[in-house]
Formats: sequence, structure tokens, C-alpha cells
Amino acid sequence: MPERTLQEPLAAAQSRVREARALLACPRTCDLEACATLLRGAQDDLEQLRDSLLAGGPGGGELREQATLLGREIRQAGALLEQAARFGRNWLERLRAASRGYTAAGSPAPIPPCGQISLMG
Amino acid sequence: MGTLSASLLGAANALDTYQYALSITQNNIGNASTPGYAKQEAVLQARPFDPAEGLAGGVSPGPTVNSRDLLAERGVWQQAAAQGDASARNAALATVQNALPVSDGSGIPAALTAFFNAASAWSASPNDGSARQAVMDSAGSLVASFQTTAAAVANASRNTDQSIHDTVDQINRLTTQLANLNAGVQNGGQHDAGLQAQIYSALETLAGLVDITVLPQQDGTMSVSLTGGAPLVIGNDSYALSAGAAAAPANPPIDTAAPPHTVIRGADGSDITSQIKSGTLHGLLQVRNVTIPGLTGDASQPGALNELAQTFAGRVNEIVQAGVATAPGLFVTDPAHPTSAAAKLALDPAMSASLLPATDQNGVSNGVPLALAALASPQQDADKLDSVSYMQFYGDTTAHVGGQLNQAQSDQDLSGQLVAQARSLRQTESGVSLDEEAMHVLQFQQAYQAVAKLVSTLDNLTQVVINMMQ
Repeated sequence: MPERTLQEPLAAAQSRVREARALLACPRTCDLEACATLLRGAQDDLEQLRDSLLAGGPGGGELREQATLLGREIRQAGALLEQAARFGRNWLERLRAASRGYTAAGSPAPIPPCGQISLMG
Repeated sequence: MGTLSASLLGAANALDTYQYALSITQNNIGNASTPGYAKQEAVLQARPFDPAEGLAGGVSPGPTVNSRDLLAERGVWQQAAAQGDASARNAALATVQNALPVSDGSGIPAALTAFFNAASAWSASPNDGSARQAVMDSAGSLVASFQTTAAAVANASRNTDQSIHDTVDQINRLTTQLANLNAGVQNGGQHDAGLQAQIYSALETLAGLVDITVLPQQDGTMSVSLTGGAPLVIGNDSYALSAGAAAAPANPPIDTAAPPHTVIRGADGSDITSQIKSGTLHGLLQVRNVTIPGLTGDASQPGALNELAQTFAGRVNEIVQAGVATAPGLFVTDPAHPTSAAAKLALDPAMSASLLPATDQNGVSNGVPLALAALASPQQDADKLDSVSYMQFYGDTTAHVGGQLNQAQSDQDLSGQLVAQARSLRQTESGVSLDEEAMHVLQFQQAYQAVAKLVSTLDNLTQVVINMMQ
């Protein structure tokens, strides 16, 4: 299997993960959906690469180095996502405490589902 | 007429109120790039309206609302500390790594190779005086390489110590500044946006240097302590830290002259090093008290460089003295000071090329040089250190430092992104509506779970691909 053929899906996956990481730098709900689309694309690219490797044997050292770099970038995207999620969770706790007060145990009271739909203009 | 006057008065009040709101907006715009500044919002209050009573209604200025959020600030402080930690480790480890040459062309690896080659050449002509002299010369070069490397690591240690002292001075300046700003708050500046901006700017800088806990007080001042609990600022008092050498350990040290660790002391003189868990100071302490002692030793370990010098010299002397029991060794070490074995390694002054024995205890005429040359690719455990050759041991030692440096670089890269993200989240925090935020957060949680699954899948898939490339 020519290395160029193997490099294309890897480079494509890398480009998508980088784009997702850039979106996660200023996370917003709508960006997360775009982020999911990008990561799904990266998953397709990597699956294609895996199938090519299965068919054509191991790639070269340069390719492995590139894949290792991609692995690091994916973990960075994961860390950014985790921090944003932690921030969101902390916000939710605060909102629960602000709107429903605290339970006897001292944790923010849960918000009961009230079946309302919120519309944003 | 009364109604007309009331209306005019109301209109005048409204103009005053809008002037007030406008001044706040102007203040926000003017301070858009002021470090630590948070957006202020004007709250307008309705005035009572009852024409019969002469109350014309209208609006009047309410309290100014500060959009600063401690949750978002803490997120930034936490990541700033992680970034400071990684950056400091990166810079300090780079100096340590530079002290350890890894190529065959320089430093200890080159000197070891030259020594083994000289021994090998001597084994081919054991009675050749110049071959013996070449072994002596290469042994002298090896001694110089150990001394140079030990001195370079000691220099890196001093530089790290200096950085620790500089960081502590910077921390003390910031805590003094914060105590002064707290005094300003106590003197009526609680709602002064400029004062608040200075406080938060100083706190962010401080958080990069050392991990802190900040507790806002009722009077508007900020109490600051290390995450471990030691106080730094309470009201208008600051508590200075200091850096110095650790006290003598409770257990007897392996070497009375072992270099002590550097510790941080609180204002009361107690050792609070263990309370420092992140920030520039933590990164520097890690390199100074963990990485460098791993190379040049401390009260509980000789350090890899000294272990290599001591073991290698001891084994070479055994081989040389096995030939002629009365012969001096090739090297001299001081067993009483294992933490300075590399720095003080020397050629035995009693040994010379003419005294260097070639015949071993079994009568083999080139047994000694053969045994010395065999140290390059050892077969028996006596010729190894930690089950590997001396060259491999040195390689593993430098690789360990290189691995730590690589990790620090990677951490610095990631923490830089996390700080930028935390600042971005703080920025979007200003002036939020709780209702809108509640909806956003619920949406966010769902979207997060979906994306987190994708990241996990991608991570696994990449690992599969990397493994397939082996």
C-alpha cells in the first residue's frame, strides 16, 4: 500500500480534529454540534485508514509519527471538552441552587421537570 | 401646572438616569482591554407614579451590578496554575537535558566509547606501551566528562534555585500589592471597578505562580491562601513566603555532604512545600527536588550519574587489580560521599601506563584489556548496572529526563489551550440571563455527552491504528 494513500485519511482526520479543537476553544452549544459532525468525519477517516492498513500491512515510521500526533490532538480535544463540561456542570449546580435552594444534605435541590418548552427569539 | 412641573421633573430625572447609564457604558468601553476588569451594568429603578399625589413616575439609577463571576474566575486561576507549572518544568528541564549530552560524539557516551575502544586496541597488543598510554588517556577523558556533566547538572540546579527565589519574591510582591488593594477596599473602594480590576488582575498573575484559594469577605476584601491552607493575604496583612535549604533529615543521610532539597517556608517559618501543588513554583520545585536529585543525589539516594561513576570505577578497578593484586586501581572515588562520586571521580595518582597490568589472574596475557573492552557489551551481571550496560544505563537516565521534558512540553501546549478556553468561558459569562443560561446548560450537557463518546471512540481508534503500524 503506497504511503501517500495511507496519509490522505490520516491528514483528513487531523484537519477535522484541529478544526474541532478550534471550536472548543470558545465552546458554545451550537459549536458542539458542529464539533460532533467534524469528529464523526474524523472517525470515518480513521476507519478507512484502519481498513487500508489491514489490507496493505503496516505503514512507515513517518505515518506512525503523524498518527501519534493525531492521538495527542484528540486527547487535547477531550481535555478541552472535559473542562467545558465541568464548567457547564458547575453552572447547572449554581442555577439549581439559585432557583430551588438547597436540600437538607446541603446539595443544590433538583429542578422538577415541568413540561415547559422554552423558545428563543 | 403641578402636573407639568412633575412631568418636567420626571424628564430631568430620566435624563440624569440615562446619563448615569451612559457613563457606565463609557466606563465599560474604556476598560474593555483593562486586565481584570469585569463589565458593569446599570440597573434602573421605577419611581412611584401617582399624579394625585404629585408623583410623576419615571426612572432613577439603581445599584451598579458587577458581572464578574467567581466560578469563571476560579476556572481561569486553576488553568493558569497548571500552565505556570508546565512552563516552569519545561524551561528548567531543558537546562537539565542540555547538561546531559546524548550523542556518541560528546560527553560521557563518547568518553565511554573511546575508553572501550582503547581497551580493545590494547588487547590486540598487550605489551605495547602506547596502547597502555591510550587507555590511561581515555580514562582521563572519561573522568573529565563525568566531572563536566556533574558540574553542568549542579549549575542547572543553581539556576533552578535562583528561579525559585525569583518566583517567591514575585509572589511576595503580589501578596503585598493585594493587601494594599484590600486596604483600599476597606476604605470605601468596595464598588470601585478600577480597584476590583487591579485585585483580579493581581490574583490571576498570582495564580500562575502558585495554586491559591480565594475567599471573598463580607467587607469586600479578598482572603488568599495556598490551596494547602497557608495564608498569603488576610485583610490588609500579607504573609511572606521564603525559600531556603531543607533542614537536616530525620533519618541518617547516605552522605553528610548530600545537597539538601529546596523548601518553601511560610511566614511562621514552617515548611509548607507540600502545600504547593501547582503553578510555576511547583514546577520548579519538582525539577529541583525530584529530577535533579535523581541525577546527582540527595540525602536518600546517590543519583544516577554518581551511581554510574561509582559502579563503573569500582568494576574497572576490580578488573585491573585482579591482574596484579598489589597494583593500584585506575580510578579513585570517595565511598564516604556517594553523592559526589561523578564530580570527584579522578585517576588514581599512583597508577601509570607502565604499571597497568595486562595479564589477568588466570595468566591470560591480554585478560585485563579484554575484560575492560567487554564492559561495552557485558555478558555477566558483575559488568552491568541495573541489569544493563553502563552505556545503556546512561542512555536510560537521559531518556528519563527527556521523557519528563516531552511531557512538560505536551502539558504546556494543552494548558495553554485550556487557559484560553477558560478565559473565553469567563468572557461569555458576563451579563448572563439565568433563564437563558439554564436552557443553554441543559442543551450543553446533552451535546457534551454525545461529543465525549466520539472523542473516546476516536482515541481508541487512533491507538488501534498506531498499534497496527508497529
